Amino acid sequence: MFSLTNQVIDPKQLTEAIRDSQSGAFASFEGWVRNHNHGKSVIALHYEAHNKLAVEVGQQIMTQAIEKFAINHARCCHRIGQLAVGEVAIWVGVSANHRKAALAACEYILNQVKAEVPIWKNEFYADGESGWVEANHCC
Amino acid sequence: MNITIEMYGRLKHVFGHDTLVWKTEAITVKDIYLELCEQHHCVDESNIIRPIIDDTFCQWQSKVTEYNVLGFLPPASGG
Repeated sequence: MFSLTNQVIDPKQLTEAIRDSQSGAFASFEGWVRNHNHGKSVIALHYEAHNKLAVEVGQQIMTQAIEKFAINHARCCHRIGQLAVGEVAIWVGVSANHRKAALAACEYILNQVKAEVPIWKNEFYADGESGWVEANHCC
Repeated sequence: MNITIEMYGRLKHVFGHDTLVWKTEAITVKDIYLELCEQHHCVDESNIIRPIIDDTFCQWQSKVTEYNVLGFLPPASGG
């Protein structure tokens, strides 16, 4: 399941949603708002999405992950709106019988969401300027 | 024909608008986009932009009809 939220992401709640007794492995990723980018001091981020298409594309990615990897459950939640430094921008969680599939699926979902889901990031800097961030799939 | 055009992400800054009401004789999404680029002195980025009609992905050669809402999505940068 893929979702967007304008509320603070609660990793514990999301983790519980994919916990089950058949899974021996759980892998998760949290993307946090950091206070710097390309040498500039970042004070906040604003995420904007095309909500309908973001959920559609995100859900397709989750379905692909379920088909591609031997996993039991997967969830991804992406924050939209204004975020402060340190807040969770994206959370991905996968449960599986074994760790290899859980780790691989978690990375797959993250990479696909970053590349495909129509969400855009606008950074606000300490010097008062702001700038839209270009796609960055390196890390 | 009259259509509405929506810009997303950095394209709002590039074109200077979130939403435009546009009158055009162009027929395809690509022709309308190029018309916009010309009038706003913007570089053609159709190789990386994804177009939508009425909140659904479409092709650049898709035909646009009266009162459609056309949207242009820059590459994703979430996460």
